[in-house]
Amino acid sequence: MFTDARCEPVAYLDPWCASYEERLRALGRRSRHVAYVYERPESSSFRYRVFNMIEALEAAPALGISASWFTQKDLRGDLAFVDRADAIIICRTRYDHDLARLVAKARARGTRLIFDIDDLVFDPEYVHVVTHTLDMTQPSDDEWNYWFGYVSRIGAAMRCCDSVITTTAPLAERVRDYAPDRSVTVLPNFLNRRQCELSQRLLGRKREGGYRREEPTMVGYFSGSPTHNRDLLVASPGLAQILKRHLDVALRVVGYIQLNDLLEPFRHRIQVMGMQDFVNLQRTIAEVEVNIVPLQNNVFTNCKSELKYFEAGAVGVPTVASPTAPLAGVITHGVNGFLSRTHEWEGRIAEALDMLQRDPTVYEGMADRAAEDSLSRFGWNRQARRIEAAVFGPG
Amino acid sequence: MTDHETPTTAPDADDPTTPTSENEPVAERAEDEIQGPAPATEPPPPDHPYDAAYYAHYYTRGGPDLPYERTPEWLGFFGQVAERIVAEIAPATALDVGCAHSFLVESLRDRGVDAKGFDISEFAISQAREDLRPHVWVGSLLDPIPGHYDLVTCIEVLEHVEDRDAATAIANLCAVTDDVVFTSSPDDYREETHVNVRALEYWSELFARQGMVRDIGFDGSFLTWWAARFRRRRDPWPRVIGEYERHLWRLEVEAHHRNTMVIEQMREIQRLAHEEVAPAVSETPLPEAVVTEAVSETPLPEAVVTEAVSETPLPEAVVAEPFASGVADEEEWTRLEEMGLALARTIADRVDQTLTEVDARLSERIDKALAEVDARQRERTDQVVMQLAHRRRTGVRHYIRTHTPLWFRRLVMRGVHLIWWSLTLQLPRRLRERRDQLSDAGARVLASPPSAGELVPTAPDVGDTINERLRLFEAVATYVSLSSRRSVSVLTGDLGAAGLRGGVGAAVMIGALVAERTETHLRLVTRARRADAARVAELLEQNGLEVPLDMEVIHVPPASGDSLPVAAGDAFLTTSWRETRALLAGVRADRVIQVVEDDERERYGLGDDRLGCAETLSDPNQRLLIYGHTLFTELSEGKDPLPGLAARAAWFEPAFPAALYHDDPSRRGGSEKRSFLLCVDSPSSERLYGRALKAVAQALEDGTLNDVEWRFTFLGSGLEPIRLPGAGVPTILDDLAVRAYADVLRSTDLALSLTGTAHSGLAAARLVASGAVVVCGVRETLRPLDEEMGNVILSGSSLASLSRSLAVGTALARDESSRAANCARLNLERDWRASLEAAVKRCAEWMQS
Repeated sequence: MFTDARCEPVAYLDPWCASYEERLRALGRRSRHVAYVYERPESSSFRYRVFNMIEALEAAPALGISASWFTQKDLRGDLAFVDRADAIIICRTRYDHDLARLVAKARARGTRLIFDIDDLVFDPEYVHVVTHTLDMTQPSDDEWNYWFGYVSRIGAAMRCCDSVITTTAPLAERVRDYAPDRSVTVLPNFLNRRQCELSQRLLGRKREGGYRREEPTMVGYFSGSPTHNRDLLVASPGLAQILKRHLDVALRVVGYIQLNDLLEPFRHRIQVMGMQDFVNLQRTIAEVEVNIVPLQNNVFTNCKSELKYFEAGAVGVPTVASPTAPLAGVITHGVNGFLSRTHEWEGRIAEALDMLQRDPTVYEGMADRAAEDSLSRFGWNRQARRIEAAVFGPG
Repeated sequence: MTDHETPTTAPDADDPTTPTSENEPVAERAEDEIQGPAPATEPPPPDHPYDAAYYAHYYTRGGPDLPYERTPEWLGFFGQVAERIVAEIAPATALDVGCAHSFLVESLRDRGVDAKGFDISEFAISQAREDLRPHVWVGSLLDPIPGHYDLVTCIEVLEHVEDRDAATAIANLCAVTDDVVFTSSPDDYREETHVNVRALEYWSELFARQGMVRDIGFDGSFLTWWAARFRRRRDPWPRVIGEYERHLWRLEVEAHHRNTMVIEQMREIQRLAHEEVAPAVSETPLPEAVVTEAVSETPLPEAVVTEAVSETPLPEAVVAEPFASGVADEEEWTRLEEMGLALARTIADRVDQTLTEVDARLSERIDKALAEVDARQRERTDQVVMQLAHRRRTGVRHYIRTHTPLWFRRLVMRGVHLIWWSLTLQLPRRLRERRDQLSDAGARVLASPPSAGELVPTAPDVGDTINERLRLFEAVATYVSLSSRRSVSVLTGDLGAAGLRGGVGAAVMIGALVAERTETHLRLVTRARRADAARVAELLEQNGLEVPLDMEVIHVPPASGDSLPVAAGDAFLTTSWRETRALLAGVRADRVIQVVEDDERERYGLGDDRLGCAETLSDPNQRLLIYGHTLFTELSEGKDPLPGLAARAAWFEPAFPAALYHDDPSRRGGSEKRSFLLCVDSPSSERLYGRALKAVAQALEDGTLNDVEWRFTFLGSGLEPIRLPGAGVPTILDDLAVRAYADVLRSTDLALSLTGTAHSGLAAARLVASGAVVVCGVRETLRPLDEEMGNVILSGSSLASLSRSLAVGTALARDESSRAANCARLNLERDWRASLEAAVKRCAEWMQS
């Protein structure tokens, strides 16, 4: 573990707490107005697709764009924000009566409607793949109803919009299949300001300390939700071998995840941490030596974004990842991380650990490149023009 | 204070600081404020509540013994508390209020913190480590505290302070710091010194009055779950309230998600109960079995009654005496009659009593046995128990009626007959009457009511039986995915080492090449155990093939509910008829290609399995890839040909990559023993393991093989250690990676390989390719297994034939030059890509069709 990355937990409060009036005022501050609509604020998609976008636009006053967010609850009100908005971006929100009202009003006013989606959850054709990927072995009737309802309603909402923004190119392809007459723009996820600031601070401390370490050497899996059980299984044979052969290696698992049979024998060397807020997550990642991102290989996972790579990269932690299209697009094998096919996990993790032991400067070079790449390509202050193009560009 | 038993959560280690007037003099305390704490000078009164006895027993009440003493547990606990404090708060100075034996002060100082502490108990302070004495003192929390500290800890102290004094205590704490880590038991009312047990809100209010607000981001669970940190805040109250609200919101969201998870888990439990517990119950011994066992352990009525009778003087003895003495008058006969009746009554009573005891004991055993039946069975057993209750009531009598009347009648009749035949004919009527009475007495005991309540076993449903018998539960659940990428799937039970050496390995290689040719991706689908992709990759690499870029591993256990996406144009490679049939439940037959390594039909008798196997392999839509032209010919033109094979099957010969299979004399000979390998390698073949063992044993006995010249290795899955006559226990090898397997073959001098079915004989062929001499069965059909190849000795399966062949084999194995020459003459295909070319092309065509 990197000793210099260890620090006191950062006080965290969800930053999305403004009242409707405050948000409405925020929308009108500048000359162009973008209203984001999301079901309700939370720390995953809302943060990446709404909060971070608004933060990036707010930090670029030269663009003259003010943005604010509204929830499904707000849709039950007077919809005053629709009057002020030049563009409305509906993010991963299910179709319902209130959304239909919003769409009708926006259409009546000629307001541009854009749908933003970050997962393959809009086309019912993929529901079975989704449930399987999310480790739902035998969904109940209610679960089938939920997932088909959820996905169909998202799809219906998408088709109400003029254009679509997605996170990755494969996902854009799927959107084109589903809604062929909508233009699609790719706008990747990125880190927000607090993530960047803390990451840079942690990275600086690691660099200043010469990447000082202590045992155990920690491999980190930062899963998030329990729906990643099958993903972890992809790397588990390799991880088990690593834990078996390298007694100085431990595994840090963050999030709700069930240890599978392969990893269970090593439970005493597996640190399981609960869900972290997005700020402290950076802290927990920064301490580990190797970040792993195993993913099943299917159409759903191939649409997933690169965020697990750049969250780790930002704090100088190289990633070993399954070569899904988005991850293979940002990780240059052996340069700023490693790509591991299904059968290569043991070898790739061993390669990373070996590099760390034998030639720390090579490891540090990789860590630096990952950090540089993550912060420059996925930093919060590099995105405003891309957002502007996606929202106000042709299409 | 709760009585925590171990320091995994916060032990109630700290000393209460209830106010006393006997503590340090005011003058000394004033001095302390300037010069720092002074050592305690005034002992507490003798009846001080927090003396040695208090500490000795405080922690043992309500839990296992863990007296508050200098033990590794307590030191360890405070050590980790100090670790966390240093890691997360990093104070330069600290004060532990109510420090008791000063373990926390000690742990903090050991970690570089300038820590001090005080406690109301002089005894407690006297227990502090010697070097801490200048830093700890006897003091009360109700008095002003000297100094100022980065951090004050107050752990399980204030619940000992009266409500009226709590505000003063908190004010004193807050006067010397801006940062307090605080715990006070919220729910332990059992301890008599806990005079102010309060929820955290109470303390939060008191701290808030001092300008200290709870740090809601602080996780104090390393101390107790109710631990809190209070820090001085200068923010306006609305902001503080906002923060509290945000935290509350987050907790509400978390609660919501947790509730959702709980609901999901409950559903999962229901599902498990349905799918896994029910089968488990069915496998648990049924109450019937339990009862049977209980009954079997209970002395049989026969034994009991015999014992009872044996303790009663037999009529013979009774009647023998008057005979012997010659006394046989009327009076005597009457006496004898009465005696006989009394005896019969005694026997009947004793039998009745004993059987009652047996009944009671049996009931007790059955009750006990039933009580041991797990609760999971309860529902299922209720019905059975009802029936058993009846059986229990009637069972003993029923048992006796059906098992004992003969002997019992004989016993009674014997006595009566003795009287009848031995004494006099004057008493026949009476004796008959008595006999009848006796019979009646016995009948009272023995008579069973009609067996109307006989247990009728619950009959399984015919569907269940068919499912079980024909293993329909193995069907692979699939779903049609219009969106999935096209793939070639290799479906097999297990991708373990043994399988990969044989037909499964060939299927994987074919799958990889077909995927490459058709630009689809390769899926490894297993039923028994999740595949190890690394092992498959090694197989491909070692055999000179490229590992597909996107090889996918899928585990679909039978009846698991997992399902397999199937896209249009997908193809499946299987390696047994069972897997083929399992797939046909959801995949078109012409999309399933079975790699055939032997004539599977020969593995079975004439039952359901053979029928199923034959029907599957004979399906006109079924594609087959057959291992070797000889086997293809056997299956298409042999004595039991598969119909239409020419149109729906292709064959391939194996390759023997030179990197793996080549003659390497340097690995053999020298001063070392020669290597004999018994190869029962392929678990998919019908082994002739017993015959092979017998042949080896015979060869050892007749000296063809011996322990001096040979070392023995058995290669195969599931083999148990076995002692060979005069040759010890052979080495058993199974789970070998590809390279290690090839190494074993190359180090072999002589091998024996027998299979019962028409089989590819791949293992034998690899041995030949590796320079070994192989004695193998005539049914092993691969092309290199031809006696013209020199190192192959084809043998019949009779012992005589095997014996002769082994003799020839040992001689040839010793002849290194002949062996090497024979091996050199082999004209083997070394490239799998070339050997599989036609088969792969055919598969690709099938996929396109």
